[in-house]
Amino acid sequence: MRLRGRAGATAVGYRPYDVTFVGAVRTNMKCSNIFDCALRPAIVRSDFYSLSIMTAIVIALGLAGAAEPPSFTSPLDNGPLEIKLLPGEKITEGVLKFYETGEDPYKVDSEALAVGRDLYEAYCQACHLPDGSGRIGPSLISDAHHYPRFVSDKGMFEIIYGGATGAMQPFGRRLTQDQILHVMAYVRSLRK
Amino acid sequence: MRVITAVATVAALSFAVSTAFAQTVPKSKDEVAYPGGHLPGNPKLALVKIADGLHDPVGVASAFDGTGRIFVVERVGRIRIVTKEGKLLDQPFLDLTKINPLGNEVMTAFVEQGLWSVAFDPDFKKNGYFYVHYSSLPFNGAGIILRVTVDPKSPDVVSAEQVVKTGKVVMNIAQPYYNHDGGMIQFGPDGYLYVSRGDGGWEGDPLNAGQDIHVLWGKILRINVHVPDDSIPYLVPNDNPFAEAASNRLMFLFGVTEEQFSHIKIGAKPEIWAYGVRNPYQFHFDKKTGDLFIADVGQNHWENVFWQPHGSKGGENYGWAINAGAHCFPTINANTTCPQVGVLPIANYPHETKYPGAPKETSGFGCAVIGLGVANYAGLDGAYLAGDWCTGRLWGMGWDKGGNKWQLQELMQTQLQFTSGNVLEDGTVVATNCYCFYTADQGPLANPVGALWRVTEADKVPAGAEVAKAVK
Repeated sequence: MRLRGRAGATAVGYRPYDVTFVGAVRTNMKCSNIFDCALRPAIVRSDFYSLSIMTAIVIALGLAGAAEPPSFTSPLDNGPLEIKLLPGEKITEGVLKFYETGEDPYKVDSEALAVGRDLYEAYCQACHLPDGSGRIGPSLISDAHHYPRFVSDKGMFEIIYGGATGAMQPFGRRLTQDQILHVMAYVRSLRK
Repeated sequence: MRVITAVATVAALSFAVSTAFAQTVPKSKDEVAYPGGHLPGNPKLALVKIADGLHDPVGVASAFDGTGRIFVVERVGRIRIVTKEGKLLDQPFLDLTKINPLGNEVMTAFVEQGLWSVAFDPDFKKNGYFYVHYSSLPFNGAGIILRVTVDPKSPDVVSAEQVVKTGKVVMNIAQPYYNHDGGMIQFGPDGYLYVSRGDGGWEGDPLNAGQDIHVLWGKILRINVHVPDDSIPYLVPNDNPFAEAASNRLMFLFGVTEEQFSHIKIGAKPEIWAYGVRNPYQFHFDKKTGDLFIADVGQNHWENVFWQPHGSKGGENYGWAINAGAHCFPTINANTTCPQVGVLPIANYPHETKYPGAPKETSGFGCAVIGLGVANYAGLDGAYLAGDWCTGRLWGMGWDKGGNKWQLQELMQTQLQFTSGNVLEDGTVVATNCYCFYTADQGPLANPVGALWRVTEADKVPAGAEVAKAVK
């Protein structure tokens, strides 16, 4: 387990982490998703971590300190994508699960889908259309993807959080990570 | 005799050289530059952040007064100063949100509305005049050009009282719809103020404004703001293309040639310098040559940049809404044909689809061209830089003397949503970006803040400077 904290603030009211993060953990050696296998080999290789430890740590920290996010990369240049908290943003259990598994936990949650739909209609539908078929922005329901990483939840998170190019701006400046996961769940539900 | 022969030879050679390398407006569609070209020297550039924390920055200008201050326009109705050292001053230089006790002077309800631009008088150091162009809330979105005088005792902050006391409305142009307002104002090398006005809005130019020389929409205007008496809002330069043609006169029907008849344009707006543009949000003069570049935001399929050589007499018709640059409006399919009206662009780039149902482009496309300024540094010689509002692409276009043609090169693709640009006192080009795309606009003070960037030679990026993430 790694404990890590970073401090600092920018002039734009958009700050790097100033809370403590705990290293993500796994229950076994198997890779259940691409980012655990490809991007966190050190952690994946270790048997030391277990869900019970993770749970205990999370409870102990009362979610004030959260799991360290995986190594996200930018869809533009594949360079590192730093995760920063919005003012007042809390790391939720859903975000922790996402960090841990790379899967969006809200995909199977009907209440979460409704929240995601509200957010989608507010921020996304004008470019991607209500049914996700795309207009100014690309289709979200076709087999062809403007950014191939869209097919994984981690990849879609990177596109929405970090932004792609120009008008597909970094929505991490507007939405919490938890909100982004809700939007993602709704986007996945659009593909019938 | 030998001397005369030598002089004649040199003159003939000079003529041949100048003819071969003459930078010209394209006369046929195949002379228009498309993405995929290469600027001479293949410049390597970077965008270096100068300042951050700007609310929807949509305009930028220098006062050319020796202070090195950069004036950044915030859409809400403020102008902020970034000092020569890169410090963003807290107190705005101008704050139009505070001059009217009933509320903001500026209408910002739609993202294309707001305070668009500032231009400083060529004699600013002496007269303290600067001009702003904005959509007026009291006048229901009309485009107002306001002259304000700086109090020399307060060079960095123009108080609300000072605005009210010295403000002079130069123009008030009614606006039919909430979009396509145009917005930039710039002084030309001739000392006249040039104004861009969009076609009035909606889509497809429903008022036929672009081709109608009786309205000010869909035009580049040219006015003389240096009047002998401030009771006169402005004067129309005598050599404006329709100044003479528009004037009232006695009618004679006989003994008049057709050519003479063709110059009679009674009721035309004499302020018009050029017409047939859609939404030329940004335009720039080359400080070195006096040439004019106009970045005209297109509709569904093509973005266009037009060029006027210094010495143009004006009156150019850029074709909207009969053409969309070198293409038809409307374009129905790949085989749509139409007559070509007016003057062709020097360069154009497509949207994701070139026509309805076309295969999607995978590179070199955009959605709205935002002119940034003419670069005469970093290996560039009179290259016009432009950014795309949707795809973050930075374009460079210019005349290729070797190839004897215009070139359009994608210099990089960034994550930035470009909104404006200009050339500073030191000759460098700066650009602004916002996070205020139509669909995500939460209001000019609620959107995530944008920034100011300088186009810099890639190997001259200052140590420790933040560079815009980009792929080349």
